Amino acid sequence: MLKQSLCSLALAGSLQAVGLAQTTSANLNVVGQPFVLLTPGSLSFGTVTLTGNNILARHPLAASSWTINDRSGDGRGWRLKLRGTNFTRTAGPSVGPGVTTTIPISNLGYAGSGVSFSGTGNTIDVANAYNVPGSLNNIQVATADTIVIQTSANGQGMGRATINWPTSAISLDLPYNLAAGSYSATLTLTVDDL
Amino acid sequence: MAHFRTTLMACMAVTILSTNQAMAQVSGSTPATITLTSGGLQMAVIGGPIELGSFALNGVDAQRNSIGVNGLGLDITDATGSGAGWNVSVQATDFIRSGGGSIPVANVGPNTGFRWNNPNLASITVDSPGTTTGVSANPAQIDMASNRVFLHALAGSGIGKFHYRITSSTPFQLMIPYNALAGSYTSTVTFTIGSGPSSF
Repeated sequence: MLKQSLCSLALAGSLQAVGLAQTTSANLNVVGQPFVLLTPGSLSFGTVTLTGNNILARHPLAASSWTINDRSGDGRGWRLKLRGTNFTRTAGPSVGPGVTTTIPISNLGYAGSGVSFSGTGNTIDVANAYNVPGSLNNIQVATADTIVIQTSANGQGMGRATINWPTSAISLDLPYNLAAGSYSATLTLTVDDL
Repeated sequence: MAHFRTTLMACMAVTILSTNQAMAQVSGSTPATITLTSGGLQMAVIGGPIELGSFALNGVDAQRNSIGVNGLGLDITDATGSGAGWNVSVQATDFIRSGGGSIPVANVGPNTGFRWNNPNLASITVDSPGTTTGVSANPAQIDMASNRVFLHALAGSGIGKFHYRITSSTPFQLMIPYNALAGSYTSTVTFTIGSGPSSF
């Protein structure tokens, strides 16, 4: 009995000595990052001269790209929404009654049918873009998050994409009776999970 | 078994990290700006001239009414963005005879000189979506020798593009003196627009 046990031990030692396969693991932690929205420094319509009639001012779109970067790594779909405040008069000469000093944000609109998205690695569901009730050609911005610029389905939308606005796609209706001066509004892009 | 356990734990670690990064809501804001400058106060005379026709001298002073105004009117644009209102005045020169001589327009007594009876006999319209509220013409008689206001927009009104058209063919009257020389006479009528309302 003792001899048999010794033989068994010897055999085991011999097997290890000739190098049987060993295993180890290779580990990788993929860490999701917060979603990033990059908005332009400003969306300036420049200077417009009043005419006595309503005016449709069009934004030249210089340096106005808006970037979406889905770094979450969770594959969840998301919605990109737009809202804004009314344009208020921030400077100008004193004016009498009868002139308007506020431009409703609903006067700001864009032609949704011409907007496209581009970028590296993104798989944005363009078919679901401009998911806004009503006309796609004259989408009015509102003070609430009612305008969905882009919807990305689950499993899509990961990576970085840039919103490409066609030339003159963003417009602002100026009433005939606006007071001369400078006006400013704040546009807010919001992205959240589906 | 020990290796299997290690691999399983690595997979679990990835899952947990991803869940921690779930997005609730991310926002970014940008200002939108525009600057509006005054387009000024503009006026254009439409139509004319005022026709007084031919008159046969009869040895006494005679009052001559206009026989047509040829669509005379004004197009007025207030693009100042100020809401200050505006006023329009009118003045005529003496009637000058080619070859010498003149008929004065100065009003030196009742029913003398060159007069405009009731500039309110006119239509006032405005391009949509403006309003004519606060815009009116003088219903009284205007002495054409002086620079008199006959049309105005009160403060807070008159913004936009307005069209003033004389609707009567006989609103102008000229006193022709008994001793006027026969011939053709011409007067120049000047309309002037200014900022702010002015009483009639």
